[in-house]
Formats: sequence, C-alpha cells, structure tokens
Amino acid sequence: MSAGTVAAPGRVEQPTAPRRGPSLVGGRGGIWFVLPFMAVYAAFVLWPLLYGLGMSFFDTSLVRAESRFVGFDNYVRLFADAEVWRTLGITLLFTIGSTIPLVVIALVMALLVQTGARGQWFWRFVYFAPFLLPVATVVLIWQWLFSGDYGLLNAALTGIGLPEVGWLTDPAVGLWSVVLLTVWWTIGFNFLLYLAALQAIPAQLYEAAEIDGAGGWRRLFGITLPLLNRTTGLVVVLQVLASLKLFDQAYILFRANGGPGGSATPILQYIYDTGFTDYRLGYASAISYVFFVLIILIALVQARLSRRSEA
Amino acid sequence: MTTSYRLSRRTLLRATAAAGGAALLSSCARGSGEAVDLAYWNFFGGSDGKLMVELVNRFRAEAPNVRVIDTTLMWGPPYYTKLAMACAGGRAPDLATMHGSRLSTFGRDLLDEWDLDELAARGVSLDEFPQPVLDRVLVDGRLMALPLDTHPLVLYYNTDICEKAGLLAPDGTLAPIHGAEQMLDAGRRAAEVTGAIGIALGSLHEAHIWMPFWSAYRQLGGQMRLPDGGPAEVDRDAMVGAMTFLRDLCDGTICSPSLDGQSSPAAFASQQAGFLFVGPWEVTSARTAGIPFSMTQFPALFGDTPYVRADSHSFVLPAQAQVDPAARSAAYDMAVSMLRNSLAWAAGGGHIPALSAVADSPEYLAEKPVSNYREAAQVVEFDPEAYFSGSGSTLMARAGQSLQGVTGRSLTPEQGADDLIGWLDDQLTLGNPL
Amino acid sequence: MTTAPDTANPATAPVLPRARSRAAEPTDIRRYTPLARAGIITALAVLAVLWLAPLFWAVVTSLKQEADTTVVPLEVVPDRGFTLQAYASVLANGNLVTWFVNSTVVTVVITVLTVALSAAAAYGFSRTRFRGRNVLFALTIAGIMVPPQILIVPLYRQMLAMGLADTYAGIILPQLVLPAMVFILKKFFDGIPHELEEAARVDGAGQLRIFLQIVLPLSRSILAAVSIFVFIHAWNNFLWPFIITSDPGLMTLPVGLVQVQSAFGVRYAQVMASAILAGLPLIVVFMLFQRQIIRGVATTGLGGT
Repeated sequence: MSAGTVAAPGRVEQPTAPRRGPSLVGGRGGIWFVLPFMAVYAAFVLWPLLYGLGMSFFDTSLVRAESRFVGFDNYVRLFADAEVWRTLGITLLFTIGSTIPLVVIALVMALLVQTGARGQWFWRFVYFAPFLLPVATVVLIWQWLFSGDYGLLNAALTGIGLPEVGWLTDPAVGLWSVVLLTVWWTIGFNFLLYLAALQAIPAQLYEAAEIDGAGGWRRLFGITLPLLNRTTGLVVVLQVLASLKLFDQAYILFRANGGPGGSATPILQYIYDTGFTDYRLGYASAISYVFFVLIILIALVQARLSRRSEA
Repeated sequence: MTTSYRLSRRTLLRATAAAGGAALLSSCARGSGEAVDLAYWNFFGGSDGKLMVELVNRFRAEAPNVRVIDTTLMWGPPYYTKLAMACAGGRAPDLATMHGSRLSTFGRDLLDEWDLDELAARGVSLDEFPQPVLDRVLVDGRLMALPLDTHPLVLYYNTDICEKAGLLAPDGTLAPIHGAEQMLDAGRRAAEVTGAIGIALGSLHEAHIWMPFWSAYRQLGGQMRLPDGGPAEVDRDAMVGAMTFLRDLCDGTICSPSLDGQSSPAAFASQQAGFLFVGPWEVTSARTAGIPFSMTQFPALFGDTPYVRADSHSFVLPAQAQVDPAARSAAYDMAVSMLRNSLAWAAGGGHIPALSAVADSPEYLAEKPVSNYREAAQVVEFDPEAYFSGSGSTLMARAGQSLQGVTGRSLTPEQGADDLIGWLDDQLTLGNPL
Repeated sequence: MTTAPDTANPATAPVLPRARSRAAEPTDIRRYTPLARAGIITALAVLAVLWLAPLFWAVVTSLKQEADTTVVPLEVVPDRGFTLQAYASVLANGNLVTWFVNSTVVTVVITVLTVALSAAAAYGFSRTRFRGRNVLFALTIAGIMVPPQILIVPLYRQMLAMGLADTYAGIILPQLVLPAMVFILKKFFDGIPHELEEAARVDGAGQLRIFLQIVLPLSRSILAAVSIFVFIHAWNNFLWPFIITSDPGLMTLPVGLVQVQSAFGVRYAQVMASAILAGLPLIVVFMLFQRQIIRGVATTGLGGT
C-alpha cells in the first residue's frame, strides 16, 4: 500500500528499545520459520501474479484448453475499450464519493463519543456493529430499504412530502445508493481508528489548554484536529485504496447487472464479467494489471502528498 | 489451433459416452434398489420456482431411489457464469436448466449431447417437438438441449379496460390488432381509461425491453448474423424502425419509460395499464391480483407474420470430469418425467409445452388464457447466435442500454442503432473465446 | 474485499502517539456546558437512530407474516402481531445450516493457519539471522501492496489446474497470506527484550522452544488482535469464495445467501430472517468481547501495537 512510509523504518517506534547486536540473534535455522509462510505466499500470491502477467499476453479462454500468444494485443485493445474507461470512471467517482463521508462522518462520530458522553458501550456498538456484518446481510437489508414499492426509504421521503427516489432504477441514483450502503456498512472501521487516535492524545495537553481558558471549540480546532492530521491522512489513504476495490456490494445490490443503464459497474466487475461471464481470461488479466498499476500509482501519489503536508 | 484440440476433446467425449453407455446397461442390471444422488440446477426464482419444485417433487415420488438435490441460483448472468465455471471445473451438476438461446454460449465442450436412443427408450422422440425450437437445440444434428417449453413474448390485456376503451370484439376477446399504429392507438385509448398508462413494459429490464425489440426487428425483416471477427451483419433500417416503435411506445402516456421488471407487471396487476408486454410467466401475478384479464398472441406490428421473440427452457447435461452412469441415467429419467408432467408447468406458468403429447392434449387446450397463444410456437424467433447472445447474456444487457437510451430519449433511434451496432462490431473483433 | 480498509497497514504505525498513562479514557463530559452537552447527546442519538434504523427494520420485517410485509402504508406492528415463522422456514430449509458449518470450518482453519504461518515467519525475520533474510522480508512487505482482487483470474485458472476448484482447500489456501500480519507481529517481536531469550539459550533451548515457550506467551495480546482481525476478514470474505465455489453444498454463508434462492415469489420476511441469521454470529461475539475486538481492530487496522 503506502510504500513510501514503509521505506522509512527509522520512524518506527519500538515498544522498548531492544539491544541490537548480531550475537544476540545468532539463532540458526531461522529459515525454517520463514519457509512455510514463504511457500504459501509464493504459491498463491507471487506465482499467480506472474502467471496473470503472462496470461495477459495470450488469448486465454476459460473454456478452451489451448491459447495463442497475442503480444500486446490485449493491452492495445484495452486502451481503446470504452467500457474499461467508463467502469474506471465509475470506480473513481465511487472512491471520491464514498471516501469523503466515510472520513468526515467517522471523525464526527469519534469526536462525539470521545466527549465522554454516557453510554460509551452503546455508541461504539451502534456505530461499529454494521462493519461486522457479511456483505450478503448488508445488501439484502438495503435492497429491502431501497425497494420501490415497500421500501422504508421511499416511505420516509413521501412521509415528509418529498418525491420518491428510484434508488435501484434511476441511472442517476444507482451509484449513490451503493455509496449510502457502503457508508453505513463500513464507517465503523474508520470510527475506531479515529477513536484510538483520540484516546492517544495526552490529557495534559487539554489540561494546559483549560488553564489558559480555552473553550470546547478552541480545544477542538487548536489541539485535537491538528493532532489528528496524520491519522486523517492515513485513514484517507486506507479508505481510497479500499474504495477503489469496489465489487461485492455493487455486484450483489444490482444482481450482477451493473445497475440501471450500467451506471454502477465498477472496474472489478468488468474484469469479472470479462473473465468469467465472457470467458476472456487473457483480456481480463490485462485489465487487472492496468488497474493494479493504477492502484500503486495512486498509493504513491498519496504517500508523496501526505509526506509533503507533514513537511 | 482449435481444431486439433476439439477433435481430441470430441473423441475423448465419445469414448466417455461409449463407456458411459456400457455402464448404463450395467447400472440397469444392478437393479433400481440403490440410491442415486442427482444434482439439478435451475434459475426459477420467481413464481414459476414453485411450479418447478412441484415438477421436481413429482419425479421424487416417481423415483424414490433418486435423491434429487435441486438448487435455484440467481437468474441471468450469475446463473450462466456459475454453470460455465462449474463445467470448466469438472464438477458440474448432473442436470441443468438452460435457455435454448444460450446453447451457443456453452460451445461444444461444456455440454454433453442427449443420446436419442436413451430418450427413445423412455418414449421420447424428436418429432414430438415444434420445429422452430428443434432447429435451435439441434447443433450439427446433435441434440444439445431437451426443450421443456417455448415462451414467446405475449400480449396481456385487461378485459374491463379494453371494453371501456372499445377495443374488444363482439365475442369479448381483443379485436385483432394489425400494425404498429393500431397498437399505439390501442395503448392511447387504454391510457385514457386508466388515467395512467396504456401499456406496461418494463423498459428498464434488459429482457423485457429486448423481447418487443427483437420481435419488431424480425417483423421488419431484420436479420442478424454475428460472425467471429466481425463486422456484424445487421439490418440498420429494421433496427432503426424497431427502435422508433419503442420510442413512440414509451412516450409517457402509452407507456412509461421508467418501469422496471417488477413495476411493469405490478402496474398491470393494479389496473394502471390496459396491456402488458412480457413473457407468459406473469400470468401468475395477474391471476393473484384477481383482475379481469386475458392473453393473446403478440400481434404483427410490421408485415403480415406475427414473428415473436421467444426462448425455450430446456434441459442440458453439463460436461463432467467423471460421469456417474447411474446419475446420468437418473438425469434422463428426471428430464423426461418433467417433460411429461409439463401440463402443470404450462397451466401455472403460461409456458407453451414443448412436448406435443402435452401441447395437443385436451387438458392443455382447455387451459385459458394460456393456450390462446399456442400458435406462437410456430413463428418464434430466437436471439441471434453468438457466444455472447441469448437470455440473460452480455448482448441482452448491452442492448438494454442502447434501447433504454432510446426509450429515455437520450438517444435518437438512429443513434441507438449505431450505438448497438458499434458495440456488436467491437465485440466480434475480440474473437470467439470458445 | 469489502470497501472497508481491510488490510492492516504498517505504514500507519508511527502515526499514533503511544498511549500514555492517563490518556486512554475519553474526556469528561462534565467539562462541557449544559447546552453543549445537550447538543452532543442529540447528535449522538441522531446518528445512532440512522445507524440502527436499517437493522431495526430488518428485524421487524423478519418477525412479520409474509402477507404483512407488503402492507402499504408501512406499519411497524402488524395487526396480526409478530411471529417466528420466517425463521422456522429458513432454518428448516437446511441450506443456511450447511453454509454456516462451511463458514465456520473455513474461517477457523484460515485463522489458525494464518496466525501460525505469520507468527512463525515474523519470528524468523525478527529473531534469527540467515542468508537472504532481508530479501525475503522485503518481498513479504512488498506483498502488502498486492490487492487480492487483481489475482482472481490467474488464481482461478491455477486452482482449476490443481483440481482445487470447489474444494475446501481451494477456498482456504489463497486466504492464508496476509503479509501485513507478518509485519505487525515482527514489529512486536522486535520489541521483546532479548535477555529472556539469552537465559533460555544458556539453558540449551533451541529456536523452536524459544519461539513456543518464550516469545509466543509474551505476545498473547497481539496474537489475539491478529486472530480477531483475520477471523472477521475471513468470515465476511466474499469475492474469492464466490469465485471458487459453484457447488451449493460448499458455499460459505455470504456466498450461498447471495447465490441460492431458497424461497420463491415475495418472501421478504424470510429474506430478512436469513440475512439476520447470517449476521448474528459476529454481532453476538462482538457483544461478548467488545473491548478485545475494538482493540484488535484498532491495533491491526493502524498496524501498531
């Protein structure tokens, strides 16, 4: 993910400073501890990674044994394939549209809970619990809420005099229904990360501020938020990388049809459809690789940005 | 490249079939006492799912030694993707339901052919099926799918509304409709009676919009050939004509452009529409609603022959890495049993039975309104043949986008036709993955 | 595979100031003016209502008779009262039980093996020296950047070739590699003082004994955190099990629930009942172990200790 930060091990704090020295860790046979993991890693990550790269230069089919070397054909085709760019655009739109509320609302939730309001257990439970639900449960519940005729959401809208919304049928709305569902489902994770960060702020800082007569808002903007800057940076990085991988909920919510007019088809679904529904594994591999490179680029750019903002 | 492999694969299949045949005999000799597991997949998740369970249960009663494990998967692309993956993985079910139009998606290697001798031994022969359907399920003379039914697009009409709109003949049935103008006009008059819309069509559902499109396109004389490598051989004028009809239909009065697969039959069931364009299976929802309605063959909107888009639910034998002869034999038994019992399927689900013994039976002819449109089986038009075509296919989904562009008026019929043709050309240049 | 950030990220480790003695508790609500307090409680409550409403509505629907689910306008309490019928039908169908067993088997095996593999590797990287150690460690860390989603196509093909499609092994094996967990564990092991180990070594203990009897017992908290993270991840994983299973008898809960139709026509109460039954196990576990789970997710989520 963010290679840039990993590459700076000097900043990693150690729980207690270990004494370093080759004599102390001279244990032999260490390779045997590492080998089992490396074997599984090589077999199920590294090998498919190479195999997939190779496959992207063939016209490999799901249902045919032999395949033909096609050179860069798949890649050439891909850049001219409007559907690749359309689904990529949808994926990016989803990423932006979901990351903002998933970060902002999670922060608000964490700040509210951290005020020490009574019922800590309850608030944490309510905000975090949906994260623990399997995607199938989440989508089935929301299909029911979104339903046109008997859905709670439209009933609520008409109840307050607003027109009904075609949550699952309007091409302009479909993707935002996925955003809504996703925010509800996964906000708990970001909420917990913020909560952990808030709890790590030394109480002395607030006490000092209080002596200076700083009120709640000034404490928030003067101490809390600046101290959360780096956490926010990382929550954003994690969320962007997670949102880019949209597939499960969009696929299930629209029963594999990509949403009204195809308006909610993420690129991973296009890869799945290309590879498994249309049997075109070689081409699907090529799209996977372009997407992979894009993910790494986005991660690097974000790492660069967050480092600059820290400097 | 492909030939060598196919040949070897085919020889292999023949060898397996031969071995299977021998084993079949021995399994008969073994006697019927031993229990057999039979995995059966289908995609009937709607109200016809209940009817399918009935058919399965009847077979269970007939063959107590067969343990049928039936599974209903999500209709459309998920079902066919899973089935193809199961075949590719070698662990496919013993028997599966498939649309006749999807056979080309499964190529030659993913399905086993039906052995005509085995069928004859169970009293079923090819001349018992309607010719247009048979043409589709026979591939190079080999029977790849055993048809259970034909299900064409049909015309539902609300007798009350049509009477008020003056659309009924003296005998109380719908006065014959000739031509697109009459259909549109009938829709307009029905809309005046309902105060809502005249015709319900789920234009947001790719299958619902595809059915009238393909019917009109074929009635206009449109052909479609989709050769590997492209370009698509398409009649652009017929396509523009069919799309123009759909655009005129979805003008917001005759038909709303924003109905989906559920709201369209619901609009008909709640008498918000005088007509409904959809396959025969919605007879259940109309009956449940208790409205006065009838059904008839889809009219000739263009030309004289009422060609109509149809498909056939049929049974296939998915290729397996290892065929258990006892299960294979049970699969034949079960498929034939369901064919014989298809009266319940037809009466309840509206499908036209494929087996002539059932389709010609007085019991079926007495079933109204579902036997009204039985003649449609002779003028059915299947989807074009291509590995990405057929019910719930990539073509249908993509065509749905073009068609919705036209009905939603973001594309003109000309733009819609070019959009679809352009996609077809692109798709064909990709080459056939089968 | 969800859109939640699902892989622990070591990059974030240095972000959090380490919790000092007095910082771990929330601030005191009494510090705020009464008006501010009212505002805070209101905001909390509004959010809670929004977050609970979907669950509430699902539960209410699941307790209705089918005919009452589609009554318009919507009603919370149906005239005919509540019933457990939907749950009874869903459980009687049997599929749900099969998938529950599959999910449990798969998740437990994945959790045990992943933690064992990761801990052993982390120990090797942290406490021993061997040729190529740095290269292998760098390779492991690089794996954090590989999203499993982009591997589905080659991995599926590989599984077909290995004859592992539609097998437990096929579901489990690709889910055992979580390089981030190795990183987290290594970082923790790095911090364990070497004195204990040296004493044991003087007593003639080998690497394996040091690992099992000294390092692991000292790492219970982080092992619990990693296990919790892996468990949640595996229990809810959708994409891979969805791709590799086509036999309904082998599907896990999330996959079976989505793919297989167990009732026909309008069956909203049953659909909600099965959705709730599938979601219940982790919710119950969460209620019992809230503190541990929150700590586990927070520590592995940000990759620190």
